[in-house]
Amino acid sequence: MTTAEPAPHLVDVENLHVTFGSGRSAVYAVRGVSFTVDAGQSVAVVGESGSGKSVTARSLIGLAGRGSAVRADRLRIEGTDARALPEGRWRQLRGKHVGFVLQDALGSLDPARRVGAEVGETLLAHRTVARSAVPGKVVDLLRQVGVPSPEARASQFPHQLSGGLRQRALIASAIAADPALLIADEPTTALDVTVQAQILQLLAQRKATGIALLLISHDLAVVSTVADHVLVMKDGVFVEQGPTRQVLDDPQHPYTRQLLAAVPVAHARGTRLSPRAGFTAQPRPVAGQEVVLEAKNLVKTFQVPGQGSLTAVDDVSLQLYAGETLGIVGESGSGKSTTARLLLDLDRPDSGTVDVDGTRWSRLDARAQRVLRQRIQVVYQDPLSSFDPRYPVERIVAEPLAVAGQPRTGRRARVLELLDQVGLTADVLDRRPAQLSGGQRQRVAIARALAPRPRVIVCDEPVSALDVSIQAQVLDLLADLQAELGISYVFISHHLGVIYHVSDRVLVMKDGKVVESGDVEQIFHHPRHAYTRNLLAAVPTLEGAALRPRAAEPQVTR
Amino acid sequence: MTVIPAAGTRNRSGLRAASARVPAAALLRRAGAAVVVLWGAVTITFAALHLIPGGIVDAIIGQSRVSPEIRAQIVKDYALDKPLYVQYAEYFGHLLRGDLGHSYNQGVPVATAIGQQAGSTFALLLGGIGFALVAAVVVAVATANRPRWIRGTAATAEIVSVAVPSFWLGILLLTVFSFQLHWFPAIGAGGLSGLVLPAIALGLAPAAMLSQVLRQGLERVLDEPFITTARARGVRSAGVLLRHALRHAVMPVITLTGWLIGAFVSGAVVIESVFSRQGLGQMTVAAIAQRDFPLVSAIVLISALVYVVVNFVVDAVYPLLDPRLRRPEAAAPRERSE
Repeated sequence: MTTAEPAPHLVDVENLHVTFGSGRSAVYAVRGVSFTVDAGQSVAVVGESGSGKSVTARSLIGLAGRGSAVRADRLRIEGTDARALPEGRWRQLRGKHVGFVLQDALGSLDPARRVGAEVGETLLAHRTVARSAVPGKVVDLLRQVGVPSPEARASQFPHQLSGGLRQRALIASAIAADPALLIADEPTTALDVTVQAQILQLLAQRKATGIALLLISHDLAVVSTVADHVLVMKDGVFVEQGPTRQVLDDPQHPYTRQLLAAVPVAHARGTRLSPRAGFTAQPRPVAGQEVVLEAKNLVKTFQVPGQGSLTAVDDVSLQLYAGETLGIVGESGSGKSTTARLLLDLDRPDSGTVDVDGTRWSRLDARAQRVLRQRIQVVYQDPLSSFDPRYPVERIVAEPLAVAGQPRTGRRARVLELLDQVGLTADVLDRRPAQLSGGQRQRVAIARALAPRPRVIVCDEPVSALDVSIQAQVLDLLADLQAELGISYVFISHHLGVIYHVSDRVLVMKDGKVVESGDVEQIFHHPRHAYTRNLLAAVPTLEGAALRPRAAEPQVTR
Repeated sequence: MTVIPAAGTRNRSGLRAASARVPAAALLRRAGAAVVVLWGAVTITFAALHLIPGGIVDAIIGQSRVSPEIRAQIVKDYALDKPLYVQYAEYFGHLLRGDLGHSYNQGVPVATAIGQQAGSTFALLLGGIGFALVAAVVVAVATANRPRWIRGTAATAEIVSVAVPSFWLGILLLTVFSFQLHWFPAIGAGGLSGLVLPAIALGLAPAAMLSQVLRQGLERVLDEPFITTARARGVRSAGVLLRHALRHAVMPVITLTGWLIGAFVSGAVVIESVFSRQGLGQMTVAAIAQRDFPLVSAIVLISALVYVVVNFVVDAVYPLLDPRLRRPEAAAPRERSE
């Protein structure tokens, strides 16, 4: 970035290094980055987890982390030299000059304190207003960030608010003392697409009031709607930087191109998202006519103590053909995951039936159910919590084989075969889940699901916890396996781009009901239901507009 | 916290009424469980009375000598000439009326004997528990996430404190602070200054256990994102620790304190002997030696009562500390997906 302006930068960083630990075990998280942020500007740092982007942001408020060593040729924040700043001075900087919004608003608000107390804490810490004026100012702030009935919300606890409201409250607490810079670390990652759009809009509004933004994200599409300037980070250095449009339209570095190609949007459908030598676009397999999974009129009601009953799944019917992918999309609370549980017979419906391969769950005794379970398997969002942390990979993958009665002698060969199918090598056999990367873990989860040779795999948000580029690899893997083995998928996601990329047919769910279903092209390009249209309009894309018909797509694919 | 099904079925008639009823119902249920525990304790002492070798009357009078009239009176009081279930009902009835029986060794009613000694022991227990909690909080807050040598020193001191027998610690404290330094009165002293050394001797081992748990809890909480957020607001580290972290970390400490009540009560017996304090502990030792069954069984029942009451209080404290436990309506009706 050019640095010729006469006015001093709000943030001026040159040659920043952050190291954790020392000696042989040292981790060089940030290795010499330089950037500036000016008043009213919006800068985004984009990269995968582990790229050093969060550490870079946190070193601007002196919270790089325990055991970190921060070095820089220049580290100026609002004119203050922040190198070797004592803790007391940092404290004056935090909140007052730099506001910080962390990912995961539920975890970032103290669950034991009222929302108002959390927002007001910034004011009290810096004595921004008189103590008696704090409650009024808190309500004012909550109103500014678009929290409805702010007086009532201020006296509630974080868990009583929806994810979107929590994120708004968190932003309110970060801007309370009127900082010149707001840092937002993955501010929308855990949110539904419509809520995400609202939060991005809120950030854009704050920027319009003159605050500078530093956004941290793994998702180029998300930040491209708000950022003026993009810094692409990989392994602790910026591999590319420039104005947002320029980086998106004319990426110079191969890594930036890889990131762009990994975003599953309309034009990427039926193509590979991740680079892999020797492979071209996988032709989508033609779905058969055989029904492998059928659900009729499923209803599931939960008793919510103190609130009456909640109909989580309300008259849902679906059919899944051999070799086909059925996408189920909807926001949190729409009943997607409960539907998955009913399909898998992990919960029994209040009424309605589920047939797997023509066999009805409810007609089987426990032994026959166990046999049928081998035909329908599941992959969850967070494999870490669905693996026994003490089991090595070999045992995790071999477990379903043992259940299926495969003799001990052939198991290792089969495990190796399965690992090979999901693109892993034998050297992961002895590792435990914690020693695997997110992408490797999801591959192991898929290998485990494949082990009993199922006809159907229910994928419940299988890529939602992954970075865009890892997500691309996993989606490609699922597509390859479908082409190779003819497996059918029920693919559940709140991410419309992912659903569009993988699905043949789509169900759109809201409040437990299917509001619209049909062929993926029809749903995405000619949505009939207003809710579907809202969902589609909220999706951030690289073009800064809703998913477009194919004719209008720019060629970013390689 | 578990939710009472009955409350769920009623909520169509009115959400507010249902949600207000639930905590009361939960409390009632816990109170019911407490009653069951006490009833069990009563039944066991009753069974013990009948299982002691020799006659029941001999068991009751212990080593004292009584006239035949009193023997007859005991038979009448305990309904020993009636069928077993009448005896059981009679035994229960006496307890319900607050009649703990008569200690023939001491020649006074059991209630009187206990009443004379309870105050001193209660003071010792309060002192011991109070010292344990305060010491645990101070040490844990001062050492959580500090450099290795500070944590290491604290951890070593904690292990030593847990390992040292309390009677030996009591003798050590007496030797140093009473006999040599003359800071505190020695054997048998009453009043607040006489309570200091016994309370420390009683509370040190539990304090060490609690401070380990609390430090681990604090260090876990200090890694939470809301702590980073609070620091990013410019809050002082003391504010972060006391306003945010301590409240979350203290929950397991409270649970453990409830469990440790038993250890405190049996510890009090030893401490009272070492410091020659009056109290239930001394009295219990004597009562056991003299085979004073009415007194021993009353002490068993009172210990059970204390345990039940303390754990009842502990349960009632959780929702005060964690608002998520307050009302079931707050327990996220949302789906857990995504």
